[in-house]
Amino acid sequence: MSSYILFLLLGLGSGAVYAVLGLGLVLKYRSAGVVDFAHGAVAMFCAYVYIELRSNGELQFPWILIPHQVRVASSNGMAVLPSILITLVYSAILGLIFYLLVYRPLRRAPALARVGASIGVMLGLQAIAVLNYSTFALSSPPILPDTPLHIAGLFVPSDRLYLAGLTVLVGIVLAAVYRFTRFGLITRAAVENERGAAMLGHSASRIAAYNWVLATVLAAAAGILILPITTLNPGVYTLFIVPALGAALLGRFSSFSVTVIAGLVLGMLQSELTKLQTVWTWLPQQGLQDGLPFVFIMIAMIVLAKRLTARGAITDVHNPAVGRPSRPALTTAASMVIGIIAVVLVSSEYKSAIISSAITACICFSVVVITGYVGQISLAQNALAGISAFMLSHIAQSLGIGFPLGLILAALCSVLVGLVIGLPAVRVRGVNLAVTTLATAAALDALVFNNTWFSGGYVGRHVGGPTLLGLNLAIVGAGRTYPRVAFCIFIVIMVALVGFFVARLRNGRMGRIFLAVRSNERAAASIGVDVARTKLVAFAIAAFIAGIGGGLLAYQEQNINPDAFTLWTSLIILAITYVGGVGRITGAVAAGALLASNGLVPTLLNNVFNFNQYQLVIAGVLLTITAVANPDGMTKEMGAGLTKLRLKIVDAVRGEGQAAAVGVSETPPAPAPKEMVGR
Amino acid sequence: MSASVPAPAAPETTAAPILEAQQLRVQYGNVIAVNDISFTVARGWVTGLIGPNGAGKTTLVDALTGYTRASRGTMHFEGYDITGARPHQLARRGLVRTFQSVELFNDLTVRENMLVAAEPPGMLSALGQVFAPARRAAQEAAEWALSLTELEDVADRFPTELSHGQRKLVGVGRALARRPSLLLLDEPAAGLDTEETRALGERLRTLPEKGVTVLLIDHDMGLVLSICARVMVLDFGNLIAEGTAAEIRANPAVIEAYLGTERGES
Repeated sequence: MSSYILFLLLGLGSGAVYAVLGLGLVLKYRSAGVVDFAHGAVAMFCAYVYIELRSNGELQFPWILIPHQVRVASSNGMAVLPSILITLVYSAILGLIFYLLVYRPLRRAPALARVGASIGVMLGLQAIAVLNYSTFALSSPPILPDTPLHIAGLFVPSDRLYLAGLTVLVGIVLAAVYRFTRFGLITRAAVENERGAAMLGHSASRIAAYNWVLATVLAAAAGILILPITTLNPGVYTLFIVPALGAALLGRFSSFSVTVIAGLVLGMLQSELTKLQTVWTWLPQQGLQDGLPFVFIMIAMIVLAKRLTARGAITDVHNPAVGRPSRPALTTAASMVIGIIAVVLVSSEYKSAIISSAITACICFSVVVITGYVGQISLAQNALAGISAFMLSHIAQSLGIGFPLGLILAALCSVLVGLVIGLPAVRVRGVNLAVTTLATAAALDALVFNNTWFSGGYVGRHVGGPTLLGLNLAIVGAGRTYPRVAFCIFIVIMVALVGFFVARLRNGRMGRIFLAVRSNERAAASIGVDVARTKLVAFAIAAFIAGIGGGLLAYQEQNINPDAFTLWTSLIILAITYVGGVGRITGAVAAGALLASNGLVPTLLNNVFNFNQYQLVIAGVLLTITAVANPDGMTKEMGAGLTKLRLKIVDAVRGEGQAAAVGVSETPPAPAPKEMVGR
Repeated sequence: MSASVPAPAAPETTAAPILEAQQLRVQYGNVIAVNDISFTVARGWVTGLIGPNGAGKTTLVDALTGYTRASRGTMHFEGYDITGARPHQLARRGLVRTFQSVELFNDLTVRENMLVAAEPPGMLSALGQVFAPARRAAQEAAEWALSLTELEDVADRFPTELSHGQRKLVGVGRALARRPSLLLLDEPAAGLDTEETRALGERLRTLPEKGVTVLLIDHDMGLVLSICARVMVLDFGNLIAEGTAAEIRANPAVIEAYLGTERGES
């Protein structure tokens, strides 16, 4: 029995980190209205700042290429206390800079832009940390006293208790400050009514900046204090954001006390799971702990979400522009012809680049549908591609079903998972949906892709090449060149067809319903659109498209492993689609060609400098810049020029036809409305 | 019906009402926004509902169209019990509303705003028609709504490019494109100038003969009294008067409720 309690208490350490990061998320949300996905990444980076100061006396900066460290002490490192103090001051400045450069300009931006910007910061910091410090895990000597305490027959490391105690203290102080002091009052007033607070002489953005700095310092403190009981690694630390979001969400992004309790309980339950796994051996042996925040977040969503509101909550925000494919059939045919000519002519290096670009574009199409057309932020689209990729292998091996039916069945498996991801969208919207999809992607990562039976683990799973009517379309053949032209043509045609489908989707009734829901859910319901079902259908379609993309990727890779579908890849897919232009087919194509890691332009650039290494940094930085400066994406300008030209032509033609039309439209067809009702 | 008739005659009470509410109450916490009111709306007429700001008009519309749940009472539309029905279900049945705050689809052109309302809203059939052009019937309904609101000239523009008055009309047109049997207009004249209000009134007056019964909710007494056969008056969630335009004009309780807030009396 006692060992169960011991594991609960051991979990207080990570629970404290979730709680403090959760508190920071609450502070940021309450003051600036932003759910900061980069909060964990900031904690991670500050932990590196501390550990480098402490161990070799160098101050680290968040950039690459130019020297990123300055010696401030002897190479034996600095003492604990000054290192901590310097890091905390550093974090305050870092927080202020991020707030001023990234988040303040987005105060009135739509949820997608805010989510995009913070994910950009998250990806960028994470990638910079990987480049500068590698993924090698570091550990730190104790900071807090860790002598075991003897409590009720248990030896509990005291640092866990100190951490938990500090966390509770911070929570109480924050709650008191917000409730009783002028500063807290003003913060609450400013977020409720910015203009009102401004009239009283308080700058809402200055108040938000104070809160932002406070939150960042807390994140840095949490990042430092947890160091001795965990290991520092860019990815793991950055992903503390998921449980922290779970805690903050249960606290409705407003209650400090609930956030602290939720964070601590989450940490303790995770720790307890580790114990339970040794007792109940039938439990999945990997990833269960990482799946737990997902459960928390789902519960929070189901319990706390509000339904379609009648009045208020009107967001007259500017959504990213959506393209209007003018001649989908012609464009598709032309793309196929150009693509086929290209893959026949170019060297095999560029053949590979073209198919990589095309497949990435295909997965990006799914983002165009769900996020561009319907406005639902999904951070799990590449995970959905992964479901299909592995299922393709399973279906071929267990059922012996190959292309094309196997690919369709595999994509339908993605649809099932996509519906699960979309289910919360029925009740939650905007940033909350982004949080749930992030949690789902993390859970899929931890529980499904980590499952050796499903994914083959590090070895991966084999996927046989496609054949159609006896035609071998596989990427490799006996002694032939790699990749085979037949495979390249196959990919070009498949992706062009998916693009055609997405274009038709936009232009037809479905597209109008999608855009109606994106524009205004209340109004959509008022003309008979079932908003909930529309979102589910959109998630299903997007999942199917992602599934097709995942299947094509599997055909290309021949041997797929979970690395291709981690949480990060899903974030990158959203990032590059958003940078390209999230509402446009050309945006997805640009994302595939310009920004995919093995895509066309990166391959070109690779011959000049090592682009692949920097892909994540570039994606992150571009994402942030796009969100702040150009939410329509880089293909918007191109599209705008064409639209203007088209309108001119339309106007010219209409001018001539006008005379004939006059008088005709005066007599409207007016069948009795009774007949029209109840279709 | 001729446009020169100042106020239409009252509808005969024998016809079955298109909408019937009984003991309807909407409560937010301790605030009773709509207080146990019962009324009917006769088919084939423009019925008015007036009341000063804060009288509970929009709350009543929200309750009738499923946007707010009534805490008690029943509602019947064309004989069906619609208590607790969802907004989209009601819209599909033919009970369509507009919004005081316009609420257009800003990503769609004016014509597409009408078209999306005119098209059958079923999702699965839409999926089956990804490769088909818009249905002819829907296109006709959209064009009909466009011509009725005289928005043909701006049909290919986006709502954000239009004046406030035009945007209000798009809202009305979009609701009409759905081919409602009962149209609930929530303050369609709010924000319109006198001339625009008069023109709107003329259009609304003709709707019943096109098969659309109208419940016009506004606080503009002038507009409502000039085109409505029967008028109900709401104040602080209570129905304080009901009758013909002339009766309402002379009703002391109404005059008191409106004292000082009356405007646009024609």
